[in-house]
Amino acid sequence: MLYRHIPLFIVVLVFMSGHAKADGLNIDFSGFATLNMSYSDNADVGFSSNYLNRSDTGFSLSRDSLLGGQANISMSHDWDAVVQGVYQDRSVKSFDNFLELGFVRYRPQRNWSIRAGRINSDIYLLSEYPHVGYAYLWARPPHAYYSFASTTGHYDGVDVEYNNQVGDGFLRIKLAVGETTPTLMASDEELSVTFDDLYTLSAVYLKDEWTFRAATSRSKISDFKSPPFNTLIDGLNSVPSNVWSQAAEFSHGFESQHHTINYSALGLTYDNFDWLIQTEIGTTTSDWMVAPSNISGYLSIGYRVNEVTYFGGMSVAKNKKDTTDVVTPELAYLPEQQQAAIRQLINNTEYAINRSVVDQKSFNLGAKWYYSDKVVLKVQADHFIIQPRGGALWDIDTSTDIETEHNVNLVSLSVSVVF
Amino acid sequence: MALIKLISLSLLLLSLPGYAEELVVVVNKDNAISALSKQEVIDIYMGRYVTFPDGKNAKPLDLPARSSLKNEFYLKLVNQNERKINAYWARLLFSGRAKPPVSMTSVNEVLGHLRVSEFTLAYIPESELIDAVKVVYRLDEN
Repeated sequence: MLYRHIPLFIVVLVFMSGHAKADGLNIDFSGFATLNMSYSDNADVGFSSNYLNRSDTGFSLSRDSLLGGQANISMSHDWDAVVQGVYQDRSVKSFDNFLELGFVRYRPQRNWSIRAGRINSDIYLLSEYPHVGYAYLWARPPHAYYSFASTTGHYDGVDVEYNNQVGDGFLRIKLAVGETTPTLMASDEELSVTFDDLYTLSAVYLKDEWTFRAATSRSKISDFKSPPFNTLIDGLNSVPSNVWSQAAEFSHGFESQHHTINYSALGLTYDNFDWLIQTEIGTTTSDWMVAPSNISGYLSIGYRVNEVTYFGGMSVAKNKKDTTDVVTPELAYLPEQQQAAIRQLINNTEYAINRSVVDQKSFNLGAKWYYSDKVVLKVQADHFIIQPRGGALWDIDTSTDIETEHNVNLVSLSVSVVF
Repeated sequence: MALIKLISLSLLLLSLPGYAEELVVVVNKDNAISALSKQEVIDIYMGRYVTFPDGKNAKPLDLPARSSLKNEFYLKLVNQNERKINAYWARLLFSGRAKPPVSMTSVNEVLGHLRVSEFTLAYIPESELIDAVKVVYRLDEN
């Protein structure tokens, strides 16, 4: 909980520094924006580019549109601060969900830096700038890989970075510790979960056209607030083990205590004059049934022709283990009312388990046109295949059959600027 | 025969790669740095470090956007055109890592900053050298 107050302190510091400019502080303001118009053709399956944003179907101007502003504050030779806010279509519209960065940084010497506050997570290739459409190729970061990743895109804490020349390349190593509490909507209910004791170790090696990245992180799950899940857990806890022996197992699996999530990822970029090739693979190991172990990855290939980069790619996300089968016990000996209640509880448990399964793949084609120094235009078409019971990254209404495959076609047209 | 030799010599001189004016990286004469390697210039101009190798603050300057000198500088330094440099700096700036070099409107404005600040680093054509600055790296060096 200690870390949570740091970003607020940083924001106050920035406002104070605005009044102290005459005392030698230097403040630079900059920003970025994307206006995106897209159409999703499946009315039963709601799409959002990341877990924290509102899902919808059909035409949308808000799906991937956003506006970001940043202040860089130089305080002295070795101290500076950065604050960044991004307004986008968050499902929960709170200050906490719009503050992306808010840290102070101390550089004790050339190769070291220490940051404290709200920090970008540095786990993925794009994790430091997922909202800056101008800076990457696609209409949005690959969905299978970056949708759930958004929940830990930033955290409140401290990191220490060391960088130096190694061989013919440049190496950055970072160790970070902190916590984050993403808040989002699920089935029209607000949901929040705290990733506590979040430790991340990451390394990046840059050499000519190549960028290699490796990262691993570990966090504890705590303070899971979700009315539907809390009701389900209470219901499971109320069933005697001699009536339904699996109830305690599922209750333990859904509750937030005593669970950890480990995440490891590798990324590679090749970027020369003609080609831009990017790939990442990540694996999550988790015993928490709300976010079970999975593996995801993508490959994207772009080719530049003058001011236009044409690209295509594919992405995959899949759970690593089959879900536990829910076995309905013999209930005939119970009064009819209790039978009905337990059958409903079993159905809800099975639905919750199935809705946590990720099993999808997608293909995309598109083009990015470098229109001017500050403006890029993009067009992109995506085809998603969601396997039966594999739609955990999608907003699927309870009335929609999740036992069948769903396909979604998404067409996007966007303009991204920096200023 | 002498005329042919003269014409041949003139054509040879015109076709030499070095005929185009050389770009040099310069600092204020009061800066303690006497020379930088190509790698050290890359480190500063690509935002990897915010200081000179001796730990003093470095304030790199850029020539105007879409100018042939700026394009030539980055092509020779990191083999990247301005379009890629702009995307690169968008990534660095909005990840909070570093701020891009300050863009100037002309070589004269660059020289004005170099005269008054020992922390400034810039690239200029060799013909624009003035007494207040010293060359720390030549772009045609390897």
